[in-house]
Amino acid sequence: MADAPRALYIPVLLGTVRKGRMSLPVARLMTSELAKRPGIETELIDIARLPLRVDDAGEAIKDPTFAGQMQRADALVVVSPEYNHGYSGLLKHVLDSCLSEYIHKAVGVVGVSAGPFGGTRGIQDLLPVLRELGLVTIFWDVNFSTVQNVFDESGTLRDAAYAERIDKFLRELVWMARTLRHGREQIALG
Amino acid sequence: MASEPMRCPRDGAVMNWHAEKVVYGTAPGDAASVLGGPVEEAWTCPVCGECASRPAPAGHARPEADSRKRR
Repeated sequence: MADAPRALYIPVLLGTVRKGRMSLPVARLMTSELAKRPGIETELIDIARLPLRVDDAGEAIKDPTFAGQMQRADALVVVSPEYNHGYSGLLKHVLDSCLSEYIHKAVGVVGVSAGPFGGTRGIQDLLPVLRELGLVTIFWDVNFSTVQNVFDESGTLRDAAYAERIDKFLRELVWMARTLRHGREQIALG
Repeated sequence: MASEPMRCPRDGAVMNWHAEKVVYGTAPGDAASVLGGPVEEAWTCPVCGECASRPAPAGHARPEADSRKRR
């Protein structure tokens, strides 16, 4: 009997350390939606909990646990709030701590903002960074605009329309993760 | 083709070579490289999915293979 296919490992990276961050319920929602899908393993990686130094940068400060998670990952969901029209500096600090771990793996970005644009300006800034790290971006994003109104006190979505957007996003991400895993494992660089 | 296939550190299988990546650095000689820095090879195990990398052999990478430098 053939072995069961290995599950895809797709962690969710919560890209802010700000107190009172509204990206936390978003990251929890994305993690729970991923966990519902068969053949997917996921977890929430909170950059606020990573013991990364700030007196140096890049691979010199690599955290072995985070690097192991990135090495194991088939894809990554980045939840990125928009602060002053950009993504958070500490998200860049964390991403820069690895390099070879990301190569030819899928990434999707979930933007979050208190204003009406759903983090789109931060996403646009982040895309070339992700590409240079070796990640492969998908074209679906999820944009949480006026995020303070999106969840109720228990963290439940008020707007059911998000469910369909998240489904589109995750379907493409999982497809890309499967495709890139096949490529990494089976197709040699010509 | 890379010089010698990498073996998976976990199960010993021959790994698949799927990428070359310039790693921009400040070591002596990095700036003199035609690609802008040393090249790292990325490999993945077809059996267990383990990823690994190693420096590409000197002179291995072909400048014409790096399309970014032509843009």
